[in-house]
Amino acid sequence: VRQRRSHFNQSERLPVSWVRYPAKLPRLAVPAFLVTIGCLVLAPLVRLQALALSDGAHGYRKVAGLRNLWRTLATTLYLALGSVVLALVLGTLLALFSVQLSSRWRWLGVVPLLPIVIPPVASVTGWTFLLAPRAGFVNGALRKLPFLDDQVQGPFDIYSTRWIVLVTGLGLTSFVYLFVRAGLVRISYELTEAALVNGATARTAFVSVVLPLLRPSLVYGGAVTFLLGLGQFTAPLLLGTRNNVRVLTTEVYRFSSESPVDYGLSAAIASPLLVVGIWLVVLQRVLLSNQGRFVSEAGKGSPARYKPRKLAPVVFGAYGFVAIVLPVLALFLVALSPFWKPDIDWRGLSFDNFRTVLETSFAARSIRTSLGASTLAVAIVVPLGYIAAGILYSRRGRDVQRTALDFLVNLPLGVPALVFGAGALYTFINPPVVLYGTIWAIMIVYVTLMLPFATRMFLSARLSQGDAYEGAARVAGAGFLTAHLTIVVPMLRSAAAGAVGLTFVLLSHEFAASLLVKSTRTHLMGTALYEFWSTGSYTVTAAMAIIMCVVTTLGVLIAWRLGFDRASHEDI
Amino acid sequence: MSAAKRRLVYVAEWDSVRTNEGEDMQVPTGSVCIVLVAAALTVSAGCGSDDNGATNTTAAGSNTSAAEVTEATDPAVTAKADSSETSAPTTVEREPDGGAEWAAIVEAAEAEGAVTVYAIGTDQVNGRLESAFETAYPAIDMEVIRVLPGEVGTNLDSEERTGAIADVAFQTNYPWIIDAADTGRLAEIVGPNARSEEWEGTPWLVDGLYQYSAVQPIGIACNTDLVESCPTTYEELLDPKFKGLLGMTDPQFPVVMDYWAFLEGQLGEDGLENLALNEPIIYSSGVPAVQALVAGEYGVYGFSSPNALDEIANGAPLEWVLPGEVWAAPFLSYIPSWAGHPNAAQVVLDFLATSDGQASITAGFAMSVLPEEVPGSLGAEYGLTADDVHAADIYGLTTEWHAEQYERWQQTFGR
Repeated sequence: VRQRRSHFNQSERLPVSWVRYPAKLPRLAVPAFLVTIGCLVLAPLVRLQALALSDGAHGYRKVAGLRNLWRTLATTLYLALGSVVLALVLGTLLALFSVQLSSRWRWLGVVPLLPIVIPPVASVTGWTFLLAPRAGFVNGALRKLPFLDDQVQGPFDIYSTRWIVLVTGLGLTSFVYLFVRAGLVRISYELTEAALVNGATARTAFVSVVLPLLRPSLVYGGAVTFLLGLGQFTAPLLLGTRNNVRVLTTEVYRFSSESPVDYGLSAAIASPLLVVGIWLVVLQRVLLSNQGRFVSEAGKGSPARYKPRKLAPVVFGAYGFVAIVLPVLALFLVALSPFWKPDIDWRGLSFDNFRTVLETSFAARSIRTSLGASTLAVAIVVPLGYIAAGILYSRRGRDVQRTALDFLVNLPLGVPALVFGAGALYTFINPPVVLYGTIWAIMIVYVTLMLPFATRMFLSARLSQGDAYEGAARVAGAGFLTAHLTIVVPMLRSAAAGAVGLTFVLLSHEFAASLLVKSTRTHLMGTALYEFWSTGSYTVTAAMAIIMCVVTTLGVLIAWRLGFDRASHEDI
Repeated sequence: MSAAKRRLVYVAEWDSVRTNEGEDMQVPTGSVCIVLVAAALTVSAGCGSDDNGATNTTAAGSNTSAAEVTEATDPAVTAKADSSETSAPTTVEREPDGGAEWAAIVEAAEAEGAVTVYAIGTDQVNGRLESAFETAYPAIDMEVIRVLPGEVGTNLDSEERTGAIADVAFQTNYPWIIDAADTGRLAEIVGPNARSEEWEGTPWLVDGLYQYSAVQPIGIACNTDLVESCPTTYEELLDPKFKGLLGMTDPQFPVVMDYWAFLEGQLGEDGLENLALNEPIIYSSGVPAVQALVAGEYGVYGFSSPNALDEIANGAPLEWVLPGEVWAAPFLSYIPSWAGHPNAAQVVLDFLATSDGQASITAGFAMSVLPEEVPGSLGAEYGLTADDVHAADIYGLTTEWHAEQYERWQQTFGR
């Protein structure tokens, strides 16, 4: 007992026991882990800067002389801000309605999360089939209305900047919903009730009580969606060419893929995204530095106390119909048709396009590659996330190490995936680590991209779980590893399942980074879809999109089976 | 004639052709290298030391170059090299079947068992090529991957550093090809058909390094549901009735920029400015543009490859016409010197030079450059030969020229 007491941490935390293991191992383990994560995260970014600064910073000099540079920057900012505003408003509204769903309709609460399951590249394709000015199904139907029947196109134009913002914002709504709802269910309704009893109106109670308590969720959700909006790639790439809508990510891709490749230029044009990403990660950390203050509310809320509203299921139904049913239905119709036309030939529907996809070697191979790379990456990133969360939560290692680790694991969320993809491409085509064209290159990029998600899932779960059980195990004589393997890990099973499910889903339809690190032999599902889009037919593209959705949905169902539903509700 | 002598005659004859035409000195170096190396009995090692040797470089150490196979299968070649090198180079005729050396290359190709082609053809054309080739060479599994001209150079550059995927390219990335030829990064084509008199000494085989495998004419396609009569001249595209109904392709690739330069010549002074008044919808490449045309997103596509004919065959409401003056894009085939299956690559290039190979890549898609009509080719169908069209000047399409023209085009079309 005396020996164990000597290892007690003097802080407010419970004792840290290394009875079964030499103290040297953990002390080295934290810096070693930090170096590993540092290599994963920083190597591609350092490589990019080295290229941009090479040859007298010729990359930056060329960027300065680029035609349309300021327009590209302005469009990038407009896209990010516009989509964030839309996502924040819609996501927060949906989150508020979600706690007002009656028990009968509570299952609808998962609807706003479903767009995450639909690959963005498939979703954007679906929206194109709906809202293309002349051939879009919705536009065609609207033009049959009396007051629009004299028009030959429109009224909507999916290729316009406005609609690119709307489609992007709709896609980001799920993330805001995820964060705000998680924050909302942790706020005890009793606080609102107290305000109402003291004479506050519902609006005052919401503004003065609920919103301030939602600050961490709103700040985090807003920052995440702003970064995602800033790095948005899929919608501008697929929809922007026609009206010359260029953003930084599409320019990075353009200069990375066109021969002769100017690596310096491509790297330099990615720099604004890098800088803003780093800055926002730091800012977010400063704003939410005292996490414990907010998280202390966790698990104490009582969402069932919110009064059910009849409007809530209607709102969710309408959202689900617009954001999910319509684009997927459009994809199905086009995938079954010989041509994409505004008037559907119901007799001509067949599965020929699905057969074409499955008979196309790179498409069939892409499914295997996606599943293989995603599974490998998940198998690596989930343990990494667990360890990172453990270090951040338990306050092991020095402060500077923890701060550095926190920064590093969050950085992939701040820097667009495309930028990581470009950095990885330029790293892996040159010695000493030549991995271009292999599944390993893809896997390493995937692990890097998923670090923040896996870490966040485990960190939230650890914060909710507290120290009591681990401390009890230690007091009972369990060593560091024994306590983790027999107590902490089993208790975090739902968080682990959530991390597996979330990272698998995000990776199985990852597109931006994949487009840069793939080769002609290692297509992923998203890049195969883009290949069909740019060199094949729209009908086959739609069939590929449906196949992607099915594969991803199967992944979600498996994760759900493993406990993702519990994790998503309790741990995030 | 012995196999050794035949081989040396090939080499001397190729050198003779180049010397007579006054071509640059880097390419003959490759052939000279072969002779010198053969004389020194150190084929692979000797050529490997010369960066300009077109047939000598392989990226993967385990792979065998075509020249290596030839030497390995007939050691007698090297013994007679010195005397043959100094003999009259053009006195002996080439054997039509290629002789034992070619047989050895084919045998080595079959041992390699696979070949990958980066092609610009549509899925139908690529499928036809694959099928025809595998019928002719059942022991070699061909994979044809469609790669756009803007990406193929990047892919090949990456593969040169990291490992080969493509063994052959059938493409329009002209600046890259010319640069690769100049810097010894293309393997010399050695097949008997590819080097037959139909190709040798013609503009269609350049330095023995790249082959004009086909020439594709560009026409005008219309959606018959939206447009009553399809324009038959480029001037008609300026008609205001096509405002908002016109589609064109972004000249982000040099080959498309050459088309725009041709179009400017057809439309005359201020022609492009007048075309801009019709607010054409700009597509990134031809396939999405044709797909949007089929969907009815717009009515007239001014840069339509014969891909539209496939859609018409499937029942799409399209019409495809060739205007009076026709611009065409040459499709060049070549072997990167780091090809993983160098012998199979030689067999592919040789197959493309045959009438069967030509038929597979030109049927309903392009024109053959062969003097004899290739049945089923687009040229035969429309009564066109390569001499009847304005083919892109591949040597004029430098990166600098493209950048300058693209800037001007962007200003004209407000992009």
